[in-house]
Amino acid sequence: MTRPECLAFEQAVFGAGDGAVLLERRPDLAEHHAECLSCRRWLEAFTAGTEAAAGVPAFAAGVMARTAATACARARELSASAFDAPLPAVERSLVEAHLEICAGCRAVVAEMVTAMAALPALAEAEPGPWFAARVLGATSRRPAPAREAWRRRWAALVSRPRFAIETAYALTLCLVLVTGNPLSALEWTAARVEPLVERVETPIQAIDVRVRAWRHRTALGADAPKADVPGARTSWSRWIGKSWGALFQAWSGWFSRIVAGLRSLLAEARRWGLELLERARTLATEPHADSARFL
Amino acid sequence: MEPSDLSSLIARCRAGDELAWEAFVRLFQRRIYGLACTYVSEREEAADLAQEIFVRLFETRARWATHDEFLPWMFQVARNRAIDFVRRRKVRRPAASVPSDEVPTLVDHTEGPEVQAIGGSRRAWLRAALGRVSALSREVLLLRDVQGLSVQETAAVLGVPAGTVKSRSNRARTELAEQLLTAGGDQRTS
Repeated sequence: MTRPECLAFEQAVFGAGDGAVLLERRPDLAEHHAECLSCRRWLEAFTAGTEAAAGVPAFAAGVMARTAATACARARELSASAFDAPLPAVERSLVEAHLEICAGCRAVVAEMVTAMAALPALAEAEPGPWFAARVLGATSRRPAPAREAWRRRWAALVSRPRFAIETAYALTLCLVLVTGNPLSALEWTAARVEPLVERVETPIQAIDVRVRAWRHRTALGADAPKADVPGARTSWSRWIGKSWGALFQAWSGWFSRIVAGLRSLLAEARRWGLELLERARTLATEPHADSARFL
Repeated sequence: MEPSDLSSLIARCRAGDELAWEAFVRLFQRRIYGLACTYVSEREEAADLAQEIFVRLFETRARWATHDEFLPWMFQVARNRAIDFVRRRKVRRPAASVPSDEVPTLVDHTEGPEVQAIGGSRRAWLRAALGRVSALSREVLLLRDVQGLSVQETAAVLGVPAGTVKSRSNRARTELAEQLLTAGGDQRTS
Protein backbone atom coordinates (compact mmCIF):
# COMPACT_ATOMS: atom_id res chain seq x y z
CA MET A 1 0.00 0.00 0.00
CA THR A 2 1.38 3.41 -0.91
CA ARG A 3 1.50 5.93 1.90
CA PRO A 4 0.41 9.62 1.40
CA GLU A 5 4.03 10.74 1.87
CA CYS A 6 5.12 8.42 -0.92
CA LEU A 7 2.37 9.73 -3.22
CA ALA A 8 3.41 13.30 -2.47
CA PHE A 9 7.01 12.33 -3.21
CA GLU A 10 6.06 10.79 -6.58
CA GLN A 11 3.93 13.81 -7.57
CA ALA A 12 6.75 16.18 -6.67
CA VAL A 13 9.27 14.18 -8.74
CA PHE A 14 6.87 14.04 -11.69
CA GLY A 15 6.35 17.78 -11.41
CA ALA A 16 10.06 18.56 -11.25
CA GLY A 17 11.11 15.97 -13.84
CA ASP A 18 14.51 15.53 -12.19
CA GLY A 19 14.73 13.72 -8.87
CA ALA A 20 18.28 14.77 -8.00
CA VAL A 21 17.57 18.49 -8.38
CA LEU A 22 14.33 18.16 -6.44
CA LEU A 23 16.05 16.45 -3.51
CA GLU A 24 18.58 19.29 -3.31
CA ARG A 25 15.84 21.91 -3.19
CA ARG A 26 13.38 20.13 -0.86
CA PRO A 27 14.94 18.93 2.43
CA ASP A 28 11.60 17.37 3.54
CA LEU A 29 11.52 15.18 0.43
CA ALA A 30 15.20 14.37 0.85
CA GLU A 31 14.46 13.23 4.39
CA HIS A 32 11.60 11.00 3.19
CA HIS A 33 13.84 9.65 0.44
CA ALA A 34 16.47 8.72 3.00
CA GLU A 35 13.92 6.92 5.18
CA CYS A 36 11.75 5.15 2.59
CA LEU A 37 13.35 2.21 0.75
CA SER A 38 10.38 1.90 -1.60
CA CYS A 39 10.71 5.51 -2.74
CA ARG A 40 14.47 5.16 -3.18
CA ARG A 41 13.90 2.19 -5.50
CA TRP A 42 11.12 4.01 -7.29
CA LEU A 43 13.31 7.06 -7.89
CA GLU A 44 16.15 4.86 -9.20
CA ALA A 45 13.75 3.16 -11.61
CA PHE A 46 12.23 6.50 -12.59
CA THR A 47 15.63 7.97 -13.33
CA ALA A 48 16.78 4.87 -15.23
CA GLY A 49 13.54 4.84 -17.20
CA THR A 50 13.90 8.46 -18.15
CA GLU A 51 17.49 8.09 -19.20
CA ALA A 52 17.64 4.66 -20.81
CA ALA A 53 14.27 3.35 -21.88
CA ALA A 54 13.47 5.37 -24.92
CA GLY A 55 9.82 4.97 -25.77
CA VAL A 56 8.97 3.37 -22.42
CA PRO A 57 7.12 5.81 -20.19
CA ALA A 58 8.92 6.64 -16.96
CA PHE A 59 5.62 6.16 -15.20
CA ALA A 60 5.58 2.46 -16.22
CA ALA A 61 9.10 2.02 -14.92
CA GLY A 62 8.06 3.54 -11.60
CA VAL A 63 4.98 1.34 -11.31
CA MET A 64 7.03 -1.74 -12.16
CA ALA A 65 9.61 -0.81 -9.53
CA ARG A 66 6.86 -0.84 -6.91
CA THR A 67 5.00 -3.96 -8.06
CA ALA A 68 7.40 -6.03 -10.15
CA ALA A 69 8.53 -8.64 -7.64
CA THR A 70 6.24 -11.35 -9.02
CA ALA A 71 6.69 -10.18 -12.60
CA CYS A 72 10.46 -10.57 -12.28
CA ALA A 73 10.12 -14.09 -10.89
CA ARG A 74 7.73 -15.04 -13.69
CA ALA A 75 9.93 -13.50 -16.36
CA ARG A 76 12.99 -15.37 -15.06
CA GLU A 77 11.08 -18.65 -14.88
CA LEU A 78 9.84 -18.27 -18.45
CA SER A 79 13.31 -17.32 -19.63
CA ALA A 80 14.69 -20.45 -17.97
CA SER A 81 12.04 -22.66 -19.56
CA ALA A 82 12.90 -21.21 -22.99
CA PHE A 83 16.07 -23.34 -22.96
CA ASP A 84 13.90 -26.48 -23.13
CA ALA A 85 11.34 -25.35 -25.72
CA PRO A 86 10.58 -22.07 -27.53
CA LEU A 87 8.09 -19.86 -25.74
CA PRO A 88 4.66 -19.17 -27.27
CA ALA A 89 4.50 -15.83 -29.08
CA VAL A 90 2.46 -14.02 -26.42
CA GLU A 91 4.67 -15.09 -23.54
CA ARG A 92 7.78 -14.30 -25.53
CA SER A 93 6.60 -10.76 -26.22
CA LEU A 94 5.63 -10.28 -22.56
CA VAL A 95 9.07 -11.43 -21.40
CA GLU A 96 10.81 -9.21 -23.95
CA ALA A 97 8.73 -6.24 -22.84
CA HIS A 98 9.66 -6.92 -19.24
CA LEU A 99 13.34 -7.30 -20.05
CA GLU A 100 13.30 -3.90 -21.75
CA ILE A 101 12.48 -2.12 -18.53
CA CYS A 102 14.07 -4.42 -15.93
CA ALA A 103 17.85 -4.23 -15.75
CA GLY A 104 18.04 -6.91 -13.02
CA CYS A 105 16.24 -9.51 -15.12
CA ARG A 106 18.32 -8.59 -18.16
CA ALA A 107 21.48 -9.33 -16.20
CA VAL A 108 20.12 -12.60 -14.81
CA VAL A 109 19.03 -13.80 -18.25
CA ALA A 110 22.42 -12.88 -19.73
CA GLU A 111 24.17 -14.91 -17.03
CA MET A 112 21.75 -17.76 -17.67
CA VAL A 113 22.63 -17.82 -21.36
CA THR A 114 26.34 -17.88 -20.56
CA ALA A 115 25.94 -20.62 -17.97
CA MET A 116 23.78 -22.82 -20.19
CA ALA A 117 26.39 -22.63 -22.91
CA ALA A 118 29.20 -23.51 -20.51
CA LEU A 119 27.55 -26.22 -18.38
CA PRO A 120 27.88 -29.14 -20.85
CA ALA A 121 31.67 -28.69 -20.69
CA LEU A 122 31.54 -29.86 -17.05
CA ALA A 123 30.15 -33.25 -18.06
CA GLU A 124 33.57 -34.72 -18.66
CA ALA A 125 36.92 -34.28 -16.97
CA GLU A 126 40.25 -35.91 -17.60
CA PRO A 127 41.09 -38.22 -14.69
CA GLY A 128 44.64 -38.91 -15.82
CA PRO A 129 46.26 -41.76 -17.69
CA TRP A 130 46.51 -43.99 -14.62
CA PHE A 131 42.80 -43.97 -13.83
CA ALA A 132 41.58 -46.66 -16.25
CA ALA A 133 44.39 -48.98 -15.19
CA ARG A 134 43.51 -48.39 -11.55
CA VAL A 135 39.80 -49.21 -12.11
CA LEU A 136 40.65 -52.27 -14.17
CA GLY A 137 43.04 -53.41 -11.45
CA ALA A 138 40.33 -53.01 -8.82
CA THR A 139 37.76 -54.91 -10.86
CA SER A 140 39.89 -57.69 -12.31
CA ARG A 141 40.76 -59.36 -9.01
CA ARG A 142 39.70 -62.94 -8.54
CA PRO A 143 36.44 -63.47 -6.63
CA ALA A 144 37.04 -63.16 -2.90
CA PRO A 145 36.59 -66.26 -0.71
CA ALA A 146 33.52 -66.46 1.48
CA ARG A 147 35.31 -65.34 4.67
CA GLU A 148 36.80 -62.33 2.91
CA ALA A 149 33.39 -61.40 1.47
CA TRP A 150 31.84 -61.73 4.93
CA ARG A 151 34.58 -59.52 6.44
CA ARG A 152 34.07 -56.92 3.72
CA ARG A 153 30.31 -56.92 4.26
CA TRP A 154 30.79 -56.50 8.01
CA ALA A 155 33.27 -53.65 7.45
CA ALA A 156 30.74 -51.92 5.19
CA LEU A 157 28.06 -52.34 7.86
CA VAL A 158 30.27 -50.90 10.57
CA SER A 159 31.46 -47.99 8.48
CA ARG A 160 27.91 -46.72 7.91
CA PRO A 161 27.28 -43.26 9.46
CA ARG A 162 24.26 -44.50 11.43
CA PHE A 163 26.14 -47.40 13.00
CA ALA A 164 27.20 -45.45 16.12
CA ILE A 165 23.62 -44.34 16.86
CA GLU A 166 22.22 -47.82 16.33
CA THR A 167 24.86 -49.39 18.56
CA ALA A 168 24.23 -46.85 21.32
CA TYR A 169 20.51 -47.54 21.11
CA ALA A 170 20.95 -51.31 21.29
CA LEU A 171 23.42 -51.11 24.18
CA THR A 172 21.13 -48.79 26.14
CA LEU A 173 18.25 -51.21 25.65
CA CYS A 174 20.37 -54.15 26.83
CA LEU A 175 21.60 -52.17 29.83
CA VAL A 176 18.05 -51.25 30.85
CA LEU A 177 16.86 -54.85 30.45
CA VAL A 178 19.77 -56.22 32.49
CA THR A 179 20.11 -53.67 35.28
CA GLY A 180 16.45 -52.84 35.84
CA ASN A 181 14.47 -49.68 36.34
CA PRO A 182 16.29 -46.52 35.29
CA LEU A 183 13.68 -44.39 37.09
CA SER A 184 14.79 -45.38 40.57
CA ALA A 185 15.11 -41.68 41.42
CA LEU A 186 11.32 -41.54 41.46
CA GLU A 187 11.26 -44.45 43.89
CA TRP A 188 13.76 -42.64 46.15
CA THR A 189 11.62 -39.50 46.05
CA ALA A 190 8.58 -41.55 46.93
CA ALA A 191 10.29 -43.12 49.94
CA ARG A 192 11.41 -39.70 51.16
CA VAL A 193 8.14 -37.89 50.69
CA GLU A 194 5.73 -40.68 51.69
CA PRO A 195 5.93 -40.11 55.49
CA LEU A 196 5.23 -36.38 55.03
CA VAL A 197 2.05 -36.89 53.06
CA GLU A 198 -1.38 -37.41 54.51
CA ARG A 199 -2.83 -40.73 53.31
CA VAL A 200 -5.74 -39.94 51.01
CA GLU A 201 -7.22 -42.47 48.60
CA THR A 202 -6.66 -41.08 45.09
CA PRO A 203 -7.96 -42.52 41.80
CA ILE A 204 -4.43 -43.77 41.02
CA GLN A 205 -4.26 -45.56 44.36
CA ALA A 206 -7.64 -47.13 43.71
CA ILE A 207 -6.35 -48.44 40.34
CA ASP A 208 -3.20 -49.73 42.02
CA VAL A 209 -5.24 -51.61 44.59
CA ARG A 210 -7.32 -53.18 41.82
CA VAL A 211 -4.19 -54.17 39.87
CA ARG A 212 -2.69 -55.83 42.95
CA ALA A 213 -5.92 -57.72 43.61
CA TRP A 214 -6.04 -58.91 40.02
CA ARG A 215 -2.41 -60.08 40.15
CA HIS A 216 -3.16 -62.13 43.24
CA ARG A 217 -6.14 -63.70 41.55
CA THR A 218 -4.18 -64.78 38.45
CA ALA A 219 -1.67 -67.60 38.29
CA LEU A 220 1.08 -65.14 37.30
CA GLY A 221 1.07 -63.36 40.66
CA ALA A 222 4.16 -63.72 42.81
CA ASP A 223 2.43 -65.23 45.85
CA ALA A 224 -0.37 -67.14 44.13
CA PRO A 225 -0.09 -70.96 44.11
CA LYS A 226 0.84 -72.39 40.74
CA ALA A 227 -1.05 -75.31 39.19
CA ASP A 228 1.43 -78.09 38.52
CA VAL A 229 -0.11 -81.09 36.82
CA PRO A 230 2.55 -83.66 35.80
CA GLY A 231 2.29 -84.57 32.12
CA ALA A 232 -0.20 -81.84 31.34
CA ARG A 233 2.45 -79.44 29.98
CA THR A 234 5.83 -80.06 28.46
CA SER A 235 8.97 -78.70 30.10
CA TRP A 236 9.41 -76.24 27.23
CA SER A 237 5.97 -74.74 27.67
CA ARG A 238 6.53 -74.59 31.45
CA TRP A 239 9.79 -72.73 30.82
CA ILE A 240 8.00 -70.31 28.48
CA GLY A 241 5.31 -69.80 31.11
CA LYS A 242 7.87 -69.14 33.84
CA SER A 243 9.86 -66.72 31.65
CA TRP A 244 6.73 -64.87 30.68
CA GLY A 245 5.72 -64.70 34.32
CA ALA A 246 9.10 -63.32 35.35
CA LEU A 247 9.02 -60.76 32.55
CA PHE A 248 5.52 -59.74 33.48
CA GLN A 249 6.53 -59.39 37.12
CA ALA A 250 9.50 -57.21 36.18
CA TRP A 251 7.36 -54.97 34.00
CA SER A 252 4.55 -54.74 36.54
CA GLY A 253 7.16 -53.89 39.18
CA TRP A 254 8.43 -51.09 36.98
CA PHE A 255 4.94 -49.86 36.38
CA SER A 256 4.17 -49.87 40.12
CA ARG A 257 7.35 -47.96 40.89
CA ILE A 258 6.60 -45.37 38.20
CA VAL A 259 3.05 -45.01 39.52
CA ALA A 260 4.40 -44.60 43.04
CA GLY A 261 6.85 -41.95 41.88
CA LEU A 262 4.15 -40.01 40.05
CA ARG A 263 1.86 -40.36 43.03
CA SER A 264 4.48 -38.92 45.36
CA LEU A 265 5.11 -36.02 43.00
CA LEU A 266 1.38 -35.29 42.87
CA ALA A 267 1.19 -35.48 46.67
CA GLU A 268 4.11 -33.11 47.03
CA ALA A 269 2.53 -30.67 44.58
CA ARG A 270 -0.68 -30.89 46.57
CA ARG A 271 1.19 -30.20 49.80
CA TRP A 272 2.85 -27.13 48.26
CA GLY A 273 -0.50 -25.89 47.04
CA LEU A 274 -2.01 -26.31 50.49
CA GLU A 275 0.91 -24.48 52.07
CA LEU A 276 0.49 -21.61 49.65
CA LEU A 277 -3.24 -21.44 50.37
CA GLU A 278 -2.55 -21.44 54.10
CA ARG A 279 -0.02 -18.67 53.68
CA ALA A 280 -2.45 -16.59 51.64
CA ARG A 281 -5.17 -17.13 54.22
CA THR A 282 -2.84 -15.97 57.00
CA LEU A 283 -1.94 -12.83 55.08
CA ALA A 284 -5.63 -12.09 54.43
CA THR A 285 -6.64 -12.44 58.09
CA GLU A 286 -3.67 -10.48 59.49
CA PRO A 287 -2.99 -7.61 57.06
CA HIS A 288 -1.79 -5.14 59.71
CA ALA A 289 0.86 -7.39 61.11
CA ASP A 290 2.53 -7.71 57.72
CA SER A 291 2.16 -4.06 56.75
CA ALA A 292 3.57 -2.99 60.10
CA ARG A 293 6.80 -4.70 59.20
CA PHE A 294 7.28 -2.37 56.22
CA LEU A 295 6.48 0.80 58.14
CA MET B 1 30.06 -44.23 -30.32
CA GLU B 2 27.03 -45.35 -32.29
CA PRO B 3 23.96 -46.49 -30.32
CA SER B 4 24.20 -49.97 -31.79
CA ASP B 5 27.87 -50.19 -30.72
CA LEU B 6 26.93 -49.10 -27.22
CA SER B 7 24.14 -51.69 -27.13
CA SER B 8 26.51 -54.48 -28.11
CA LEU B 9 29.11 -53.21 -25.63
CA ILE B 10 26.54 -53.28 -22.84
CA ALA B 11 25.39 -56.77 -23.87
CA ARG B 12 28.98 -58.06 -23.86
CA CYS B 13 29.65 -56.50 -20.46
CA ARG B 14 26.53 -58.15 -19.09
CA ALA B 15 27.77 -61.46 -20.43
CA GLY B 16 31.05 -61.01 -18.53
CA ASP B 17 33.40 -60.13 -21.41
CA GLU B 18 36.54 -58.62 -19.84
CA LEU B 19 37.58 -56.83 -23.02
CA ALA B 20 34.18 -55.19 -23.31
CA TRP B 21 34.44 -54.08 -19.68
CA GLU B 22 37.85 -52.51 -20.39
CA ALA B 23 36.40 -50.65 -23.37
CA PHE B 24 33.47 -49.54 -21.24
CA VAL B 25 35.79 -48.12 -18.57
CA ARG B 26 37.83 -46.27 -21.18
CA LEU B 27 34.64 -44.96 -22.81
CA PHE B 28 32.96 -43.64 -19.66
CA GLN B 29 35.91 -42.74 -17.43
CA ARG B 30 35.86 -39.04 -18.31
CA ARG B 31 32.13 -38.80 -17.83
CA ILE B 32 32.06 -40.65 -14.50
CA TYR B 33 35.08 -38.70 -13.26
CA GLY B 34 33.40 -35.45 -14.33
CA LEU B 35 30.31 -36.46 -12.39
CA ALA B 36 32.41 -37.32 -9.34
CA CYS B 37 34.08 -33.90 -9.54
CA THR B 38 30.69 -32.23 -9.09
CA TYR B 39 30.11 -34.04 -5.80
CA VAL B 40 33.58 -33.72 -4.24
CA SER B 41 36.07 -30.96 -4.86
CA GLU B 42 39.38 -32.70 -4.25
CA ARG B 43 40.98 -34.60 -7.12
CA GLU B 44 42.02 -37.65 -5.13
CA GLU B 45 38.59 -37.98 -3.56
CA ALA B 46 36.92 -37.57 -6.94
CA ALA B 47 39.13 -40.36 -8.32
CA ASP B 48 38.25 -42.59 -5.35
CA LEU B 49 34.56 -41.89 -5.84
CA ALA B 50 34.76 -42.54 -9.59
CA GLN B 51 36.54 -45.83 -8.91
CA GLU B 52 33.85 -46.83 -6.39
CA ILE B 53 31.19 -46.09 -8.99
CA PHE B 54 32.96 -48.28 -11.54
CA VAL B 55 33.42 -51.08 -9.00
CA ARG B 56 29.72 -50.91 -8.20
CA LEU B 57 28.87 -51.02 -11.88
CA PHE B 58 31.18 -54.01 -12.28
CA GLU B 59 29.57 -55.85 -9.37
CA THR B 60 26.08 -55.32 -10.78
CA ARG B 61 26.91 -55.79 -14.45
CA ALA B 62 24.67 -58.84 -14.73
CA ARG B 63 21.70 -56.60 -13.88
CA TRP B 64 22.53 -53.68 -16.18
CA ALA B 65 19.61 -51.95 -17.88
CA THR B 66 19.21 -52.16 -21.62
CA HIS B 67 20.59 -49.53 -23.94
CA ASP B 68 17.64 -47.10 -23.87
CA GLU B 69 17.51 -47.01 -20.10
CA PHE B 70 21.21 -47.51 -19.45
CA LEU B 71 22.37 -43.91 -19.03
CA PRO B 72 19.66 -42.91 -16.49
CA TRP B 73 20.28 -46.18 -14.66
CA MET B 74 24.04 -45.59 -14.59
CA PHE B 75 23.58 -42.04 -13.30
CA GLN B 76 21.24 -43.33 -10.62
CA VAL B 77 23.88 -45.82 -9.45
CA ALA B 78 26.53 -43.10 -9.57
CA ARG B 79 24.35 -40.65 -7.67
CA ASN B 80 23.57 -43.17 -4.91
CA ARG B 81 27.24 -44.02 -4.62
CA ALA B 82 28.20 -40.33 -4.50
CA ILE B 83 25.64 -39.59 -1.78
CA ASP B 84 26.98 -42.52 0.29
CA PHE B 85 30.54 -41.34 -0.29
CA VAL B 86 29.79 -37.76 0.78
CA ARG B 87 27.95 -38.99 3.91
CA ARG B 88 30.85 -41.25 4.84
CA ARG B 89 33.31 -38.44 4.31
CA LYS B 90 31.30 -36.16 6.60
CA VAL B 91 31.40 -38.75 9.38
CA ARG B 92 35.05 -39.72 9.03
CA ARG B 93 37.18 -36.89 7.72
CA PRO B 94 40.57 -37.94 6.38
CA ALA B 95 43.46 -37.43 8.80
CA ALA B 96 45.33 -35.20 6.38
CA SER B 97 43.74 -33.62 3.37
CA VAL B 98 45.09 -30.99 1.09
CA PRO B 99 42.24 -28.72 -0.01
CA SER B 100 42.37 -27.61 -3.58
CA ASP B 101 40.58 -24.50 -4.74
CA GLU B 102 41.34 -25.26 -8.33
CA VAL B 103 38.91 -28.09 -8.87
CA PRO B 104 40.50 -30.65 -11.09
CA THR B 105 42.85 -29.43 -13.71
CA LEU B 106 40.92 -29.98 -16.88
CA VAL B 107 43.34 -30.88 -19.61
CA ASP B 108 42.23 -30.38 -23.18
CA HIS B 109 44.91 -31.31 -25.67
CA THR B 110 43.28 -29.51 -28.57
CA GLU B 111 43.73 -26.07 -27.05
CA GLY B 112 46.82 -24.04 -26.34
CA PRO B 113 47.91 -23.30 -22.76
CA GLU B 114 46.44 -19.80 -22.72
CA VAL B 115 43.01 -20.87 -23.95
CA GLN B 116 43.22 -23.84 -21.63
CA ALA B 117 43.92 -21.62 -18.61
CA ILE B 118 40.99 -19.34 -19.43
CA GLY B 119 38.67 -22.29 -20.00
CA GLY B 120 39.85 -23.98 -16.80
CA SER B 121 39.27 -20.91 -14.65
CA ARG B 122 35.84 -20.38 -16.21
CA ARG B 123 34.91 -23.97 -15.44
CA ALA B 124 36.23 -23.63 -11.90
CA TRP B 125 34.15 -20.46 -11.51
CA LEU B 126 31.08 -22.31 -12.79
CA ARG B 127 31.76 -25.26 -10.48
CA ALA B 128 32.08 -22.86 -7.54
CA ALA B 129 28.71 -21.30 -8.42
CA LEU B 130 27.22 -24.79 -8.72
CA GLY B 131 28.53 -25.53 -5.24
CA ARG B 132 26.64 -22.55 -3.85
CA VAL B 133 23.18 -23.39 -5.20
CA SER B 134 20.85 -25.57 -3.16
CA ALA B 135 21.28 -29.36 -3.28
CA LEU B 136 17.97 -29.89 -5.11
CA SER B 137 18.85 -27.34 -7.77
CA ARG B 138 22.38 -28.72 -8.15
CA GLU B 139 21.14 -32.25 -8.83
CA VAL B 140 18.70 -31.11 -11.49
CA LEU B 141 21.35 -28.92 -13.12
CA LEU B 142 23.85 -31.79 -13.12
CA LEU B 143 21.50 -34.24 -14.72
CA ARG B 144 19.62 -31.94 -17.11
CA ASP B 145 22.11 -29.33 -18.20
CA VAL B 146 25.50 -30.90 -17.49
CA GLN B 147 24.88 -34.56 -18.37
CA GLY B 148 22.17 -33.72 -20.91
CA LEU B 149 19.48 -36.14 -19.74
CA SER B 150 15.92 -35.55 -20.91
CA VAL B 151 13.12 -34.50 -18.55
CA GLN B 152 11.78 -38.09 -18.38
CA GLU B 153 15.24 -39.57 -17.75
CA THR B 154 15.94 -37.03 -15.02
CA ALA B 155 12.56 -37.79 -13.48
CA ALA B 156 13.42 -41.51 -13.49
CA VAL B 157 16.79 -40.89 -11.82
CA LEU B 158 15.38 -38.58 -9.14
CA GLY B 159 12.14 -40.53 -8.68
CA VAL B 160 9.88 -37.48 -9.10
CA PRO B 161 7.22 -36.57 -11.72
CA ALA B 162 8.29 -34.90 -14.97
CA GLY B 163 6.43 -31.71 -14.07
CA THR B 164 8.45 -31.42 -10.88
CA VAL B 165 11.67 -31.79 -12.87
CA LYS B 166 10.59 -28.96 -15.20
CA SER B 167 9.75 -26.55 -12.40
CA ARG B 168 12.88 -27.48 -10.43
CA SER B 169 14.96 -27.05 -13.55
CA ASN B 170 13.62 -23.54 -14.17
CA ARG B 171 14.22 -22.55 -10.56
CA ALA B 172 17.70 -24.08 -10.61
CA ARG B 173 18.76 -22.19 -13.75
CA THR B 174 17.54 -18.92 -12.29
CA GLU B 175 19.31 -19.66 -9.00
CA LEU B 176 22.57 -20.46 -10.78
CA ALA B 177 22.37 -17.28 -12.86
CA GLU B 178 21.74 -15.22 -9.74
CA GLN B 179 24.70 -16.88 -8.02
CA LEU B 180 26.93 -16.13 -11.00
CA LEU B 181 25.71 -12.55 -11.00
CA THR B 182 26.42 -12.19 -7.30
CA ALA B 183 29.84 -13.77 -7.67
CA GLY B 184 30.63 -11.46 -10.60
CA GLY B 185 29.52 -8.44 -8.57
CA ASP B 186 31.68 -9.53 -5.63
CA GLN B 187 34.63 -10.07 -7.93
CA ARG B 188 34.20 -6.63 -9.46
CA THR B 189 33.89 -5.09 -5.99
CA SER B 190 37.00 -6.85 -4.69
